[in-house]
Amino acid sequence: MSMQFNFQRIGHFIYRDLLLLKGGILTSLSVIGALLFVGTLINLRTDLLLTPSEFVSLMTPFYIIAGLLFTFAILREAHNKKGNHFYFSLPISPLERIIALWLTTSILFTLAFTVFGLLVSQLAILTGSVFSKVDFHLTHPFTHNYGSLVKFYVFLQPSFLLGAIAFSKNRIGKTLLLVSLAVFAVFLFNVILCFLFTDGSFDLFESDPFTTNAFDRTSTEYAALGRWLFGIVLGPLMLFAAYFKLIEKEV
Amino acid sequence: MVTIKNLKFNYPKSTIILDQISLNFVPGNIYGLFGRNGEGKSTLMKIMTGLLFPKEGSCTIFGESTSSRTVKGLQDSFMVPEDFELSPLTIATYAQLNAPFYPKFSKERFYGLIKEFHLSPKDKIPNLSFGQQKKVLIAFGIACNTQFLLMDEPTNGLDIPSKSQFRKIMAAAVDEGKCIIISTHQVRDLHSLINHVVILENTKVLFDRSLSQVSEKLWFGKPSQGAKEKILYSEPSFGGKSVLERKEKPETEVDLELLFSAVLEEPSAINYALKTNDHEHAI
Repeated sequence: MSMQFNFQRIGHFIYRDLLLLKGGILTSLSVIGALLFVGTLINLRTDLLLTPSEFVSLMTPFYIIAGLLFTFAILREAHNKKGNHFYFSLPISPLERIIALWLTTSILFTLAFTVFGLLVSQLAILTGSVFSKVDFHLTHPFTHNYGSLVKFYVFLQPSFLLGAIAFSKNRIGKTLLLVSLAVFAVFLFNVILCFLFTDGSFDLFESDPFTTNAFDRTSTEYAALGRWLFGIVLGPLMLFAAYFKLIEKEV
Repeated sequence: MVTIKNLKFNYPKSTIILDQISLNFVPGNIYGLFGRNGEGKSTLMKIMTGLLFPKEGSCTIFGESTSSRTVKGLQDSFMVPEDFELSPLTIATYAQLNAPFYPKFSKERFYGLIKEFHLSPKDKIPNLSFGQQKKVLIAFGIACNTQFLLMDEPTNGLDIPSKSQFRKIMAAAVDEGKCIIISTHQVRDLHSLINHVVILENTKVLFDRSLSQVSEKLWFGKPSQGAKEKILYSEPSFGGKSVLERKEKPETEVDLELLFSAVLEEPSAINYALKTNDHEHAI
């Protein structure tokens, strides 16, 4: 048990985090479930069908917002002045801790939320089929949009994990500010590229086709490089930074 | 063993709290860590459990730096802080959730202590008083069977019967070869328990002696008129007690409160008396 890495300890830590947040998780799921249920019913009114794409669109805002709030909630104990001594003196290495945190807030959350969303939607479809002309049908999330959504969340989430560890006060606000600054920096990078490729005749504040085309072409032609850079910066690098922040965190 | 060498610490944008601190804490002892408010006792305990990192110098547990928070180091130390908040669970769930991280955790010991403290495993922690919550944490800390147990003001909030229970439990724990470090202002509660005294003052270690050394060389009480022994410190009140060089006098029980005041008021005289006697014994 005194090894620096132990899967069993990671499992215990995940279980501990989930049990401590049980009340909050249940309340949040009840609220989200109710909203998703109503949202599905409203969606069914149009064509009496919930397509996989519609299901993913319905789920998207809840998935992202709930995931990011969950990331901050799971680290509440680490910032509680009266409770963090126990959190940080618990015999678990920083590597095990960050793996447990990432697995819980990223992978487990995605799996659990998808299953939960599916169940609520199926329940809404069943309710619709009982009380209206909706034919009972099964839906699923496996669309291209769902893949993109999960990728987006998995790469964005470590930035919030870093913010949740690093900041003690106004954690959500400060993290959002930093992410906004990063997005602004990418936008600025695009603008600079537009200037370079148009020999300075690019005007950001003009909505003529030349400007729009230049910006769109920069976005698409350099999108692969941008995606790669964006993925590296927002994903693994932020996870790495979160790990080091956890190592140097004091009470 | 916890070894502290030339340790220096200050909080961000704050003056130095601990400076050039060197100490050794060895299993089989109960250390009393004393000092006035704000002298860095709690800070030192947090450094020893890896919750704060030294700015200079080192603090190691079995040779590994406490700030690296190794699993082995953390499995061998447990701290009961002065002020804390436990998770809103039942006592049984609290133990079930945290015990797997401590390989030497004894369920029997934990539930035995919980019973001894007149608590029930089904009790919900948020419904307990602060003193009862402290009992839960003390019971958990002891049941973890860590080599080092650090307690910051453990008797604060405990009722009178619980204080005596606490002393009994601690005495049993030290018999098992543990090292217990207790920081407290309520020395009367623990005077029969402590066998080594460390006093911090003005960022430094002012006193670091075992009580056997102290009782061997110092005498505590009201001296008779015309006593030949040198009075090292006297309580300022009329008819107060004094600390004398023991010489040929019979051994007395160490009065921790008096010793603390004497060390703070006359540190050189007390330390010199102990050192002189050391020297005499060496010769």
